[in-house]
Formats: sequence, structure tokens, C-alpha cells
Amino acid sequence: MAEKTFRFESSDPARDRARFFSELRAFGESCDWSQPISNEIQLILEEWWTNLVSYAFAKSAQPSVIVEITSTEGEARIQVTDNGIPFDPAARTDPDLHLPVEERPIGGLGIYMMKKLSKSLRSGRDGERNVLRIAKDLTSPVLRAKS
Amino acid sequence: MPIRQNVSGDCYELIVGGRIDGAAANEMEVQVLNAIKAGAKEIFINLSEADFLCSAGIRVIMQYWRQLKPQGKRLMVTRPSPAVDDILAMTGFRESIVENAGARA
Repeated sequence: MAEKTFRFESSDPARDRARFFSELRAFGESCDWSQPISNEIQLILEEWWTNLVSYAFAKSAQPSVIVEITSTEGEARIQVTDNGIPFDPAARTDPDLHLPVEERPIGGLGIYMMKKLSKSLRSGRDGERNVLRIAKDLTSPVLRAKS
Repeated sequence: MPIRQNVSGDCYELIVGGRIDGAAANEMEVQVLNAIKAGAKEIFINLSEADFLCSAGIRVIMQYWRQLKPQGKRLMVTRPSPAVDDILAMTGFRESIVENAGARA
């Protein structure tokens, strides 16, 4: 399959959420992503979009998010940049999965799920922007598909 | 996908399908709260038709699982789809919040 690219830019991620995911699904279809792979990429970006809307831009008057995806035969490379508060998800400690449900902290699950569903996840800063780079294997889903 | 509901006495089953993203998790919480207000003693969240479950959805389930347990009531997940079953296992909740978790989906 030829390399295909996707770009989505938003100055209001809360408002643009539904449009972003609609365009993402359409892009996945154009790339022939399997439904389980498409679902996993949506889930990864759902978690990140929630993080952006809920935390990164909580005090920002001028949000800016740019999502770029390059889809090749076996891998999707996803880059999300934002001008929200500095945040490094790759450095975040994984939750303790062995704690009883009663004692489990509420936070941290979304980032953990993003890591588990990705082939690699790196994050850093480029000037005033957070940069998140994710590689997603398109050949084999992490989660089992519906039978 | 709208949430369907089956009620039998004080036992409520909520069937939540499709992509359980942040918006769907909010809707699921509304339905759980409605069931609690209506006097539910058991709430079963049937996820057999769910494509995925985001962390906001897990938080809703975890929150009301915790809230109901000390009252002698319960909220459990039933029949998770394979993908959702894997998500619950991945996040360490499967054994506690899935009814009959020993029987793998």
C-alpha cells in the first residue's frame, strides 16, 4: 500500500472532537486498516484527546493541536503536538495493577492504556509545544477482535 | 449507540454497545445514576456489544462498584466483548469487576 498521510489541526479540541474522530475513521478506511486496528488507534487518540481537553488546555485561551499520521504497509506513525501545559506521558509511572479495586487511584489509566496499545510511545518538547510520537503496528491488533 | 436497559425487580441490566468513548462513558454514568435513584440493588453492565472501553468508562464502572459495595449492593460487568475483556485484563480490573471472570470471553 502506498504511504498515506492525515493531518488535523484544531484551535478548539473540545468543539472539534467529533469531527476529528469522524475524519480519523474515514482515513483509516482509506488506508484499509482492519476494524480492530482502527478501534485501537481511536482508543489511543481518545485517551490523548481527553487528556488535552481536560488538563492540557484547562487554563489556555488559545489552544492549538496538530495531529499528523503517516500510514504505511505495516505501521502508522502518529504525531500530536500541542501548546498546552508541559506534560511528558512517556515518563509517567505505570499504575500498580495489583492494588485492590478499592485502593486503586483514579488517574493514570489512560496513559497506561495508550502505552500498552502502541508499539512505541515517545514524548518531549519542541520549543513551546509538547510532542507525542506513537508508532502503531498495523499488522496485528493488541486486543482480541469480536468473533 | 443508545444504551438499552432491562429491569427485573431491583436488578438492572444496562447494555452498552459500540465505542465507549468519553461521551458514551458520561451517558453510561447517567444511566447508572438513574438506576441507583430508582432503587437498584444490582446493576449489570453488559458489554457484549462494545467495540472498546476508554479509561473514562472504566472510571465510571470503578466508581460505582466502590460506591455500591459497602451498601450491600453491587455493580458488575457482564459478557465483555473479547476486546473489552482484554482491556479490563490489561488494566487489572477483570478479576474484580467482571461477573464470572473465570470464564474467558
